Amino acid sequence: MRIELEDVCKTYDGCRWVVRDLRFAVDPGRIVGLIGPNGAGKSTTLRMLATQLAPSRGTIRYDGVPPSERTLGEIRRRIGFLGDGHALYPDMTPREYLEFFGRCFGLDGDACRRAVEETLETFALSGKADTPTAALSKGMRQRLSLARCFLHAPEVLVVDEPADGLDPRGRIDLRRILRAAADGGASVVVSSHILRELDGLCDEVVILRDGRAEVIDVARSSSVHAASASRYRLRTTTVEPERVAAVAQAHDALVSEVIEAAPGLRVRLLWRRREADLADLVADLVAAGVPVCGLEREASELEELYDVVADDRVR
Amino acid sequence: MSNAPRARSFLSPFLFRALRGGRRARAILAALVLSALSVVTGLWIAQGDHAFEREVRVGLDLEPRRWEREQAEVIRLQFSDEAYEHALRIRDRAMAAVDAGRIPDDSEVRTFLKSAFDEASLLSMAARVAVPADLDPARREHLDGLRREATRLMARLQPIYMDLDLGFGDLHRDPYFGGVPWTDEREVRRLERIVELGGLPEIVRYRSPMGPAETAGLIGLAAGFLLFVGGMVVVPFAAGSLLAHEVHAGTMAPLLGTGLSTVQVLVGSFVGAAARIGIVLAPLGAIFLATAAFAGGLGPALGALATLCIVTVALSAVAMVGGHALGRRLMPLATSGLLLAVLVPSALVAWFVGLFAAMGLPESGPVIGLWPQVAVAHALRTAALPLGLGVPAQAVVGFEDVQTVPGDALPHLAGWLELFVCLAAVACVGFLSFRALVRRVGTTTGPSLRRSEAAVAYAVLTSCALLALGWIPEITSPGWITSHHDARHLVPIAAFLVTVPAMAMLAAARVDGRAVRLGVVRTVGPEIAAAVVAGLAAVLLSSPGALEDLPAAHAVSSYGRAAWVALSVCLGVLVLAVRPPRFAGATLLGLAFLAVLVIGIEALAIAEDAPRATSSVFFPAAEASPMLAAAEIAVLVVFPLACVLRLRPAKTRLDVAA
Repeated sequence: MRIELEDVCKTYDGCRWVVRDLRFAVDPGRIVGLIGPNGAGKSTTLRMLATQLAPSRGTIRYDGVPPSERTLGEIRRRIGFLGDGHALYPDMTPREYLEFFGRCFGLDGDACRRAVEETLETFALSGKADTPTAALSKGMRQRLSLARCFLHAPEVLVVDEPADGLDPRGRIDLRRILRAAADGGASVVVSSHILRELDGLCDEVVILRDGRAEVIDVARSSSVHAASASRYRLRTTTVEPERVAAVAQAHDALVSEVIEAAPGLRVRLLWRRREADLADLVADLVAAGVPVCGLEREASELEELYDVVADDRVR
Repeated sequence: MSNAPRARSFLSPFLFRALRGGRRARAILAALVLSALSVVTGLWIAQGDHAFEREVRVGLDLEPRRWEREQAEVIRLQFSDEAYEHALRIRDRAMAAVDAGRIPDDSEVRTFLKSAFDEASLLSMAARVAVPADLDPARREHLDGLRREATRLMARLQPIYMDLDLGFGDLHRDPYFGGVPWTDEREVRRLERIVELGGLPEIVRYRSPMGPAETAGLIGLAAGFLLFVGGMVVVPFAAGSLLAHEVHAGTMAPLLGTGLSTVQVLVGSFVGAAARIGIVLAPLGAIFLATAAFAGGLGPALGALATLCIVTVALSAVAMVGGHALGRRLMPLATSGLLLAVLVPSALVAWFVGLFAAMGLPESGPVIGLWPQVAVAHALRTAALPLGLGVPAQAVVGFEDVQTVPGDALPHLAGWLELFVCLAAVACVGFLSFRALVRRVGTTTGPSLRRSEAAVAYAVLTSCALLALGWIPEITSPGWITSHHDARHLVPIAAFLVTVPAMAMLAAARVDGRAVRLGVVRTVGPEIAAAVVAGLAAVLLSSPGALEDLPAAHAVSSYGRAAWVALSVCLGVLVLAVRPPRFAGATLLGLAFLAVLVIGIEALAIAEDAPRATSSVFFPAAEASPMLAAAEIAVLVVFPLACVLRLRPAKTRLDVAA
């Protein structure tokens, strides 16, 4: 289902816009990341996308049709929405919780039970299927909340901070599940404060600032990259920073900081060229007698993007 | 999809949630236990021979008080076999003393003889008062013979009573009677019985006099009480606290995100909460229907259950509104505690008022209009134990005025009329509460009630208040209008003030969430002013004598105060709803509400004082102290002003419609 936002504005009190003039679209099969500083209006935007809130002004269209009293229920049934908090019933087990929501989504007996078992399996909850929710860990609760969103195979997934509380395995699984959903034709909107989690996942990024949105196609954002420098950290056992600086200069890189860290140095580099060109730098450093113990990116791709575009002013 | 499958479809998840796991089995077990408990309790109260069970039956008007029965039947009741055997021995000793013509030095026998003083009095009077000459000759001959027997027996007893502390002279004082009512069949029967017993009452081992119909009725009443508790406390509590939990845990948004409409989610939540309790109550309902049908009739029993259902649903809607409002600000446990603190006392008091109302006391009926739980208790009691059932006392001579009058047509009819009015009002309030809840849950903007809905709700509540206060005979009877009190002046203001809390709640429901900072006073203020004017006009128009003999100054002062109270309470509640203050502000607001209450009482006092005009009309507090008057003026000015300032609109406004 394609979602289009047209000049969408939202105010809660009639005195201050939380978001305004949002204009972007989410196509089937695409994952859109929604990022921005605290108070930028991410949760409000997600709730509007999930039809939980009506825009104060502007229109949101679902497959070209704005929701109405008559179509709202049908649209909601095609959306999986994970909002703030866990929204769980402490005395229910994960199996009961999913069956309850499955029935709410209109799944009948056998189909519901089948969907519940598959979802429990997908989110690695089978082992805790009959444990009361109150006894689950934070990560397991988050898995259960996510499972609820995927239970009815929605065409749209709107998830707010989905990796919150998940362990590393859970985060890896989540990325895989989100990508699989998108590959299956779902439109996915995901927000997270931890930009590294969205690295390599999102096809598009919507950066919210001052309540307005700036849309960036990640695949075509090389111009943004070109205009900026990526930060790398080089670890070496040499104690001669001049030698490192000379090699870096030859590659149009800049040594911004050198920290002595026995038995060698930790050097911060500003790299302006393509990531692939780093291999040449490493080769020249080794050739120049600088043993390279490690070279790693300091910030994620999205963090750098965000750094360039957003000013992080909390509103 | 037709309505039935659609209802089944959206109710299915909520019923699954309520009855999952072992919950259904536990509910069935509880139902069996409670059903058995109601039967055992009913049987125990109906057939128990001890003082407690008898007192309960006396309280329910199913049998006369002990002294009434002892007097009417010339007996002394004993409540245990030991006491009975002992009392028989004492009576034998007393009889021997009478035969011997001297009083023994036996305190128990002396006490027994003293207790028979009433019987001796009747004998004494029969001996002294001639049988009227205008009676049927056969009847007169029989009564003359009875009088001779009484005279002979009195002569035999006379030495004994002369020796007692009472003295023979006391017999002639006739403490209870003005003369032997030879024409009163019950008194004649009583005299025959005294003569037959030789002037001393018979000793009787007390046995419950309840027959099958009364026993069935008491079993039905026990089941009715459990149904009442279930409907008036447990179901509203479960529905309200469930919603508080949903709101607090944030589960309402995911539920609405499933495609179910707000109405479906709320109805489903209620049905889910009620389902388990319904399983528990269903057998009790069957017991109630069966026993009430046996004792009285199926119609009243069905009517009572319908009343119970209507009030339960309406009360649950109100409890859900409360649960939703409180759940957003308090922990669920605190919300549940508050709901219980309101529901339990009001239900228990209502149960006893309802029993009282069902005893043919018409003045209790109008209470029902403002207190729906009383209507339910009244209906259940009347259905289980119809008026006239039981063994009411044969009126003891001289005490007719304290006897209840079962089956009196007028109060009975008035009671049912009140019941109907109450049900209409409570159904209306319940429906509007649900509408408000749907709007509040479905969206965070817009008022909870439309202007027309708020106006209807206020009209219904004002009508109930007028009906309730206007029908209390103690207040409206001419005898109550004296030089010191005048109910004509008091009742209209009291009726208006009773509606003020409802008016404030409705004003809060009229606040548009989106327009909170756009000026609540500007948007809701005119409606509050209109409600105050309409409310005062309604009470004045429905009370023709309200302004009669009321001096203009009193009228201005009392009605002005009442209007001020209404406006101030509405503004205060708006502050609580829109911009709730922190601890210090909340404390000040609480004190201000107390001051408003005092000023409301002053309004009543000024109207009531009109015939005497003994105190200052405009500032009665000044008579006590000028400082009090100054404080009152400060409250009158500062409180509404502070509320208006607190509710002042924001400086910047967005053009949302653009």
